[in-house]
Amino acid sequence: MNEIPAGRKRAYKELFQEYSEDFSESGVCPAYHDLGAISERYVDQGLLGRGAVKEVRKCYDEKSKRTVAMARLKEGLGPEHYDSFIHEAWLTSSLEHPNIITVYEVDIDDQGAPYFTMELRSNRDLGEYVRGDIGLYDRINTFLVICRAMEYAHNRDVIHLDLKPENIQCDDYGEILICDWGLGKLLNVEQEHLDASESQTLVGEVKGSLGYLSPEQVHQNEDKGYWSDIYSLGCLLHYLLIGQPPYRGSKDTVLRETIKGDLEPIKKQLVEGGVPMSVIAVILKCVAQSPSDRYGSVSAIRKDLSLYLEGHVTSAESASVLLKMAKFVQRHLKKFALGLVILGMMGAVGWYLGAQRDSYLTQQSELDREIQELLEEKQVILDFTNQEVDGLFEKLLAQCTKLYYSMDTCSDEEFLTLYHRGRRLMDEAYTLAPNHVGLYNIRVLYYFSTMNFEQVLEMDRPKSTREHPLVDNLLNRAQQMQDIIREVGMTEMTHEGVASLIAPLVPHITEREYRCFIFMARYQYLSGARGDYNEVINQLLRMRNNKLQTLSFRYSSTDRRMTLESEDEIYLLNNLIMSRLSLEELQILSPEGCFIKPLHGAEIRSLDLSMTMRAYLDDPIELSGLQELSLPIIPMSARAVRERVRSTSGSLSVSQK
Amino acid sequence: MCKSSSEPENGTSYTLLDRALNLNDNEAWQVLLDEYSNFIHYILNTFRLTAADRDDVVQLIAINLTKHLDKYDQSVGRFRPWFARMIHNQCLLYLRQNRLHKRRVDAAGEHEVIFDQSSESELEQRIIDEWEVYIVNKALENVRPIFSGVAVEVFEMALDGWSTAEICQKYSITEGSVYTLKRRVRKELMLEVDRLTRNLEPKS
Repeated sequence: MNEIPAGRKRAYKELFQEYSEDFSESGVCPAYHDLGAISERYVDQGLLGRGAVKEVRKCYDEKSKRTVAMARLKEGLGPEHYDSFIHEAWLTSSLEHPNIITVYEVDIDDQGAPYFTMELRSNRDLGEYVRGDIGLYDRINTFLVICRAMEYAHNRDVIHLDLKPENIQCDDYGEILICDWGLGKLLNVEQEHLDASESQTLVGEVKGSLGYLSPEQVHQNEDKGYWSDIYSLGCLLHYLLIGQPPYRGSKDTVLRETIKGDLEPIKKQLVEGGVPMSVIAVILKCVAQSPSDRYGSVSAIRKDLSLYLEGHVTSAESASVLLKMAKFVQRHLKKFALGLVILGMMGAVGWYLGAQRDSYLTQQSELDREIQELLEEKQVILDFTNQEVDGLFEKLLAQCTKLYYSMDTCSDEEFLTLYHRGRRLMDEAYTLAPNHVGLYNIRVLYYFSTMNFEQVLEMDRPKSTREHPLVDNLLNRAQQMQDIIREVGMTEMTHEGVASLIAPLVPHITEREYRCFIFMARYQYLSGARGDYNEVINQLLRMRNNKLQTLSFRYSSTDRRMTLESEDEIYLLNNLIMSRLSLEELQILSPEGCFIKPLHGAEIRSLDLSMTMRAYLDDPIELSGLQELSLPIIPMSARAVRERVRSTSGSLSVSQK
Repeated sequence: MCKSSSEPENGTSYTLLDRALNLNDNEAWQVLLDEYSNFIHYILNTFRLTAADRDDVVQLIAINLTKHLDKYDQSVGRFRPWFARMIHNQCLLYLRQNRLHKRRVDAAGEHEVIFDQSSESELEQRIIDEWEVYIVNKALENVRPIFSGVAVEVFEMALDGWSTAEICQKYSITEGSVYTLKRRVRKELMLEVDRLTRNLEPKS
């Protein structure tokens, strides 16, 4: 080493001094220093809840810089509780599922008391969630999330035994966390159920929360197992749908009712609460008195409810749907003019049967045959009940809703036919229950999407309606557009007219509304409205991308060339709309890229993505007429690109710039 | 603390010292001794020992380190004073054993003057100071390749007492840039000093 000049030596010596004095304070690793300086890791932020043996407090974890829930034994509880407390933490830690609470740390504090910390997403529990503005479908979907988590736990031989709304965290985004596994048990290999004594405290009190506890947990001498959680899940679904558990009242009343297990009152309150029959059947099967009458697994509940959401018949419904509907037809044959009802209902019923198959229109002959069978069957039907009318109403509603949404993706050929079918089902449902909230909402969607704003605004909104963000928005939009129509005296709705009505709304439209406008634009086009459609597409593109700072849309109808330019990622419209432009060339200028999947099926000749940073080619896309594809430089061979981008033109040239 | 379930590959998570002392890694020993020897050569040079003497003393110290580094008693004190005393003692021992006092006074000898005129503690402090300078200097050389452009030069100019204005003028950069460059080099330098000390100094 060469001699170091004296001045430089002094400087080095000073630097070393700074390093030695406090490496972490030298500004090199401030975070490291801060972490090392923390003496009190958890800062208490108040009580979250208190149970029989433990209390949970909200704490800020200074070390990991996040808010956590900290569980401790209640004051005064000594070592006899330590092990069960620690086992709860370990049991919970063993479950790694996005909807089951995560344990962060299990430890013993300075005073020798055990504690554990857990994730805390929200102070809200399922009770507060239920009181919010949530529709039936969302409520059922929330329940399905709970089911999936419980299915996971059961698959790992863990049972909860204390499922109730307070033990389910629910954040503002509807995210669910199942908490408090304090009564939870790991069933060992030989043990399929717990001994009766395991659900009691030493003094013989029942463990768990009344109202959600199964009869076998209340009874002191029966075995508990997965079936006990299934019972509680039924109670939870009951709560989710009508805001209260099946049995209420004093402790003694609930105990008595739980043991008695009479399902009729439960059924009655669910029917009164407007719960669809199919779902009622699911709840009743969950809360059956005898475990052998309940669902055999959580997955069976989930499957049944999924079927319901998809509009099929659930396994819990015992009677034949065909029979039920036929009964309904017969009843109405008595009540109304024969021809009218046969025409209306046969369409509805026939369609319902057909809808259970994949395609809506290709099954026409089979549909006719089924209607014929139905007509024959009605001859043998003897009676009918209100319950069956309700059941049919629910199905009509579910199907006209499903039809509405199926029009997002159906072909042009199917669109109007599906629309008319949907309208007819909707109108039939209206004759059965004109003041039903769900029906009102779907009627708003149908009328709005076909620009029948007058009708939208004239309809009486049912009094029991809660706020519904989409419907509320659509009512406002309808009013705005109807005002313009009146002011300018618009008589015929041309494409330019539609575009001019949409334009002022574009910046405000939410994603859920957007699909109604797409429906509107398709409906107008397919019903033969005249005029220049390009401006409609321009407005729809702006609407789809209305969160972007900039979007420039250039279209030349002579070259059939479109250029879209933005600083941000651009979203395209579905080809069902875009294809109206008969585009030959499409150029995207966006550093962020453009997700081209919506173009699937487009017949463009040239696609230029070379001025984007990303080309989304993860999924195969069919662009049958494509001849020229320009891409940014991506780590993919031209051959691999051709495998993803399917062109039948036979001469697809791929260039990378 | 995280407990590793298997040996780390090639000592990636161990310092040179860990490997040499605890894992009997010969290669690590050699690297470590080379590092110490470089410094000892340097310090002996400042004591004006001849090249031949320096080689001998370095050998002696290396043997001593091999014998005693693993028995280094952390309770005695920090590594640096121990290291300094060891170098000092070995030098004295060598000089006495070889009766160099008399034979080489005329030939070269400033070293006797140094050893005679300085107190024990002064000499040891001087070794410690030089060691620290040595570490910082080595650290700066190690981080130099990390930076492109004028960053390290700017940092060194500041060390040598140039004002920010002068540096700005010389490189036609703004004060903000000078500040940023200095801060970045300093941060890397500190990390490297830390890495070197962890590798070369047993924890006290």
